[in-house]
Amino acid sequence: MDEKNGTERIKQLEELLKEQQQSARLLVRRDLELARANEKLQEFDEIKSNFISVVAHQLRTPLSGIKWTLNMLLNGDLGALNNDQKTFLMKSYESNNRMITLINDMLDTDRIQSGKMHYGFRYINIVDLLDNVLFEISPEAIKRNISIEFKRKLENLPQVYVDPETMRAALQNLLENAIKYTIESGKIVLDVEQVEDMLQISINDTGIGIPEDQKKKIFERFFRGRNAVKRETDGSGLGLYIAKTIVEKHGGTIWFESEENKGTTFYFTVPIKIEDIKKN
Amino acid sequence: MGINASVGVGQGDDSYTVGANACQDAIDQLSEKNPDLLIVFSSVKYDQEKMLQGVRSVAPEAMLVGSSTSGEITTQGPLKDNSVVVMAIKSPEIKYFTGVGENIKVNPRAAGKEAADKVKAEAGPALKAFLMIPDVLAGNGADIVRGVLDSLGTHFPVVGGASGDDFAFKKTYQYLNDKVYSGAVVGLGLTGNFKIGIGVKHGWIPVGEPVTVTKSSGSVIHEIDGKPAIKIYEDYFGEEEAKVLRTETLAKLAITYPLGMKVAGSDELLIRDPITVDEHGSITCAAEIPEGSEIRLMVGSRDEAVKVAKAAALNAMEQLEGSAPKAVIIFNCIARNKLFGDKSGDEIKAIQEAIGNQVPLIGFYTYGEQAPLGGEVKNIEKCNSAFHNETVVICVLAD
Repeated sequence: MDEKNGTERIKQLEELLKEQQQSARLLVRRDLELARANEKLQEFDEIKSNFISVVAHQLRTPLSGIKWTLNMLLNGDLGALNNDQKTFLMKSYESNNRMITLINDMLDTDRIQSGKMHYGFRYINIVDLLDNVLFEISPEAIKRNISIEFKRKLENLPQVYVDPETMRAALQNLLENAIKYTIESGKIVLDVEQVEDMLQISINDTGIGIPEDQKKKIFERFFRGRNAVKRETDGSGLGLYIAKTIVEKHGGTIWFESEENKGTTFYFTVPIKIEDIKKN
Repeated sequence: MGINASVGVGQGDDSYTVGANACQDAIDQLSEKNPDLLIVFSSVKYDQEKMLQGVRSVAPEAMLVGSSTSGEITTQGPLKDNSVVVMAIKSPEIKYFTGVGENIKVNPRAAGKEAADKVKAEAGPALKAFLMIPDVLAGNGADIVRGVLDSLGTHFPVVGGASGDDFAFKKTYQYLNDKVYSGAVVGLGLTGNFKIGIGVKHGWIPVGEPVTVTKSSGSVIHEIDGKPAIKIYEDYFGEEEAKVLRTETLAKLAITYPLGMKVAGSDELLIRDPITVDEHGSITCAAEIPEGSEIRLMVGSRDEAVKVAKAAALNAMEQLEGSAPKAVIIFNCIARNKLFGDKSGDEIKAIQEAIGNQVPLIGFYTYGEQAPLGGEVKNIEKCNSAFHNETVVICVLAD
């Protein structure tokens, strides 16, 4: 009886082993299929990437030419303009600039996705970079009577470890958004403080805010808030995606607090120079 | 004043300029301008001689070792475009000694011994660590390591990575000072007052039943369970895929399905990459699998690979006994790059989470890695350096 049971058991085990071996084969074949499909997708992605890159570069050159020509006309280099001419040319100039921004965003997004965004990390003073970006975007804020101020005097801050080029792009995207979505005569408050081994930068605006049900999607590519679309503000929906990717590549995090019709505060962190962590 | 390291990147079309730019970029970031050592990793897209001349034009005095690759890695992560990357190191506490062993094709073991003998002759008994860059397309990688250990002693910490050629498996190059070699092994010995941490792991998982290598010679497996070796892949891959196994380079198809064998001194199976298959169905691997070995087919998963990369980095950090890491050198198998696809940065990010993302890091995707089994360096009696495949080797230097 025992012998019979034993033989039976051995048979069962042999069957199980066979089944297991068959499963292993299926697993490998399925894995192989997925790997092949993934390789194909990567090839397509590369083609798409090249296509975007070629189209965007081809568009950027003539758009830059138009910008230069319009600039000359607006400056009166080719003769005085009447008010109507100035107004219409200014509109063309702004539309052209928006196209250039959109194309640059597309190129940045493509570089991010294809892993071709290059980061050259250096130790820098983040306040210098912030001042630099503020200088560039302040004309738009002045035009819309939006005040930009610092919450406190920024002194004795440690250096941060960043790639100045991409970090600048992240800051610019966040500040441009703050201006764009703040109603006229509103206020933007900036702050930088050390939180453990990171510097935390915050940008608070008195803008339209982010609708509660759309907060989860705000960092997705091409996503634009319902109220942002309604206000007919321009935007590609790529800025926050770009900013988030850049901040995370630096080892930082980005988040926000927002209330619709009241305003939004974006926060992000960047790593402090190792030697400076002990000092502060 | 301890170890001071920096990493530079060069990209573009002109080989000389790209080499010069990469070296200049590294030196610009170094607080002292005359480095003692340059580690250079380059894509084979560049004319190797011209690229190296470019690098040397910027730092002609520094000692230089390097390799062609199948992808370069820096503090930024893996680079997507063909590049030249340079790590510049300056330290008053470390002395470097180099040696080269040629003609791996004729006798890999002798070549390994020759490179190590030269380093040993200059460094003397103070030699603390040995870094090697072999050409394993020319001969059995395990034999080259054996030759190195013939010279340095059975239990000696050896790290390194086999040169690549952008996944073409045709010809790889090794650099020593002003000269570009092929079919050679370049060795770098370190002496002085510094700490070294080594992490080694692969994370591949066995599937299916174990099988036995019934006939093999060196790195060629002729038969498995009495049948032509290639049967193992034909059996797992199915008829459709099996057809191309004999027409394409086996490595390109099977690199993410390597073979694993049990060895003493490591909790993981030691991996062997299949490289080519001949008309009899014999498989040539990147290093040998002795007759009688019990082997398994292995599969990889990204999650597991990320997990073990971090674990390996933590192991390396532990060996520094609290000292701050100053430079990281990574030898990472090309198979892992293939496994990760466009997510290869995740693995490097995991390593940086353990070591710190501000520590200068250089590395490349290899055709084989060299390191002590299990990363054991503390207990020198248990330090058994070996030739690995599909593995990430992390070498961290500290004061």
